[in-house]
Amino acid sequence: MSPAPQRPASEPAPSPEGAGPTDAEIAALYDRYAHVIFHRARQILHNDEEAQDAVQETFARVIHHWESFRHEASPLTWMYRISTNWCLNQLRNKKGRRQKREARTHDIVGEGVSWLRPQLEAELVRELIAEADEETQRIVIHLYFDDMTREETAKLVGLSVPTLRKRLRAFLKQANLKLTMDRRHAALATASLLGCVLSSWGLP
Amino acid sequence: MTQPLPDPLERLEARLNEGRRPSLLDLGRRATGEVPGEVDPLTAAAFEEAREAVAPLDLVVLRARAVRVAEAEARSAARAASEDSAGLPWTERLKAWWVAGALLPVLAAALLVVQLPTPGEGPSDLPTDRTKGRLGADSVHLDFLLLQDGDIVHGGPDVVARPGDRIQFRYEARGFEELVLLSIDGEGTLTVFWPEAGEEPEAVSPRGEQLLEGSVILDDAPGPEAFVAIFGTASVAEAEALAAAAWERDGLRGLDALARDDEAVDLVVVERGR
Repeated sequence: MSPAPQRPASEPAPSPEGAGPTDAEIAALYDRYAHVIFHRARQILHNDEEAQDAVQETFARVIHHWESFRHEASPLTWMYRISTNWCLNQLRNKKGRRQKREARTHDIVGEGVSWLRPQLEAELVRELIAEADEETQRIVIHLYFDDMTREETAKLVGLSVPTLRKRLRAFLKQANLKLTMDRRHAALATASLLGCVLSSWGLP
Repeated sequence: MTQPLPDPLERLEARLNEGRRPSLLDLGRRATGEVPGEVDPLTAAAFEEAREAVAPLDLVVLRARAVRVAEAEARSAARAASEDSAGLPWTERLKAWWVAGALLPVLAAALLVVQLPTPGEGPSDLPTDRTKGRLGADSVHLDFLLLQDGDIVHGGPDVVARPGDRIQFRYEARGFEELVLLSIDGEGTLTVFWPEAGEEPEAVSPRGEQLLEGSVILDDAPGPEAFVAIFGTASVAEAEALAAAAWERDGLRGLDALARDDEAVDLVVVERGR
């Protein structure tokens, strides 16, 4: 374990009540928190550009909600909540885009679409939560990406631990079903492809 | 008897934190000095790497974004308020009707002076011969090719596409180097196609007629699909807001008006048959 860095000794003078944050206050907050938000958003989104955007959005909201933000006991927890919303929106948008644009990278006179199954766990979670309702998405993000306990997650999303367990079980059940279906489709596609290859070779 | 979970899900379940280690939020709070405590070397190194990778602070850009956030929240609040007013108690609604009733003669008089065009329902109501923007021929241009039953046809008002057809776009950027291409279907669902991800617009060639790399498969959403090309925009969010506002104003006609009035915007409407 390495010792944690201490809170900066020379914090900028606070802006007067009712006024927005000063440039120095924003700079101090950015220096202290931006990299932590970025690290976490990058894990959820698996995309640096989108993670940078999550940081910008989070700090833009800090500026806009300055009066309530400045009284937060844990600024990072507040920023986590904002960036979670942003990341969920990104995941939802991606799902919408994927549904409509599965062949986006292929020209009209292109070749067939390759179908790569994500192998990584994180990628699997990203894919599975895109199908879930918003509350379940938050639960899964806190459990898997933030490595929170069920108790911490339940407190953050405002549910009892038994309810959270129930939601998690439902999510895993749905995920199980989806994976099974995907495997069945993959097996059928492979069989049909094999059939085409064999018949092109003149084999039964 | 329940079926056993497939391996990946078992691994996911096994990874859950049972309270024997601090969460990432805890570690973040420790690393930022919010709470006392130590950070394991691996996470500390990851935070340090993130510190190197995160974009440096640009106060001008950030404050401009905060203004956009404020505007967006104000719009949502106004929308929510107008939706709420539909659910007001009957006494309040009666008051609102009384005010509206008092204003009716004034509105009727105004209508006599200004004849408003009737908003159209479908793309067939849109003019087919469109003159765009102040600069006319100097403004951007978008059209499309359609792959249908193995043939490639040039898209136009007479072409009816079917779900499953593939569409490839051609554009002239007229000096702009950024593009966001999005669609709004008959249900008002907005989908961004270019760029594929992120907030940065797609980089495009500023000169000449160009083929946009990649194609879109038309889905079976109801009604026509309007594809809007917004050039020279700063971000995807800005382009989405522009198109969404035009759609909210007057549906397809709103988008058409946007394309006519803004020299950096063009629109194609793909009619969808079965």
